[in-house]
Amino acid sequence: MSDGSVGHNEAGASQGQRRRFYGVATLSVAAALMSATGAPDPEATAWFQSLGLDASGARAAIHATPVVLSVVVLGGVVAIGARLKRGVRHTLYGVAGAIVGFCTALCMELFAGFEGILTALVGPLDEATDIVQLGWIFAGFSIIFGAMMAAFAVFGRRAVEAIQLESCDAEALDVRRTERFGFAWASVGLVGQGLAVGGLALAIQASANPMPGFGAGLVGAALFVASSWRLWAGFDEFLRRMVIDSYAISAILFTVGAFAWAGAEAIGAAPAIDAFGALLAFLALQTVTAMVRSSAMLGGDKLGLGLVR
Amino acid sequence: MKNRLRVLRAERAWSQADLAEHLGVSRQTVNAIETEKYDPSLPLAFKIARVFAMPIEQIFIEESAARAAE
Repeated sequence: MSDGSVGHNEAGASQGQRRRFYGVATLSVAAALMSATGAPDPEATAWFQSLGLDASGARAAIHATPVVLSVVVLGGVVAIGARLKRGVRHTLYGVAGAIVGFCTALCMELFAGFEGILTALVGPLDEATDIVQLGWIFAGFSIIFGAMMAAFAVFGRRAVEAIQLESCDAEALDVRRTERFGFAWASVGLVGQGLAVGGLALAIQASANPMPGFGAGLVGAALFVASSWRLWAGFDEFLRRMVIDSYAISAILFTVGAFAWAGAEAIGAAPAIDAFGALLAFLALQTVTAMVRSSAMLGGDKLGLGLVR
Repeated sequence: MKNRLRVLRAERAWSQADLAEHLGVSRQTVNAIETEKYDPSLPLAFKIARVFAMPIEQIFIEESAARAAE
């Protein structure tokens, strides 16, 4: 049997610093991968050229910007953050992420080649509405988080350590064999959710040929249901309670939001929302609620809302 | 509800994973009980009592009783 105690000695402190470095490094690699999919914005290119760079130098600078920003802004927050309270620290992480994201979006159009791939598959696409664009963003997030869960399932503790921005209980980083199955099914569910929403978004945009998108959506929905069923069957009482709580909270929030929207629509203050918009709103609420709840219950912050008792 | 799970576990030099294995639950569940974010069901509380060979009331202490004892 191993010793469950955690010492706060120098070795622990340097291990914590190493973990924080891994976290920043991983996010920077993710930023590099993301920027590789982008097409430079002409205005941003012109601005970099006005600084004395030639065309290829400006292009390289634009692609390097997300990586440099990630390292400088996020690394800086992590370095300062160790001395701050958890709530302040997490707010700073959010602000840092928003700055990096905003600057990156100014410099380039992300996933620029993606539309071309879709067009080659299903034919011409209609202009995406705001809701459809949100659907694509949500699908992308779901698939990225799904990939993260897959990395936990395959690489275990090494992958968990690679995204840590904060020092934490060493035991919390441990990934046992049984937990790897949980991460694998969570990955299937999240990728399925992304495929379901992305498939429907594609079906809406490809109005002349909606069946491929609808088919992809059906496959995604089936994966999502299979994953939910399998995870529920393997969960113990506490994990099931977290699922119940997150669905209960999201149902209440959705009802309140739907009432507010219906009221605003009735007096002409909001546009009508379609079934895809309603589905997207519920899935987004449920995903965020589940993440906040599980982070609160497993991570130790104060967002527990006192429901699991 | 207060509890002495962390102390009892430390006395036996068990990790959270070790205790979770004894109880047939996830490590996250043991952690949530220890940090007093989750009160276990009655069947799980009895199981915990059996594992530590102690009466339930020596492991779980009602908040008001714990405050009175302080």
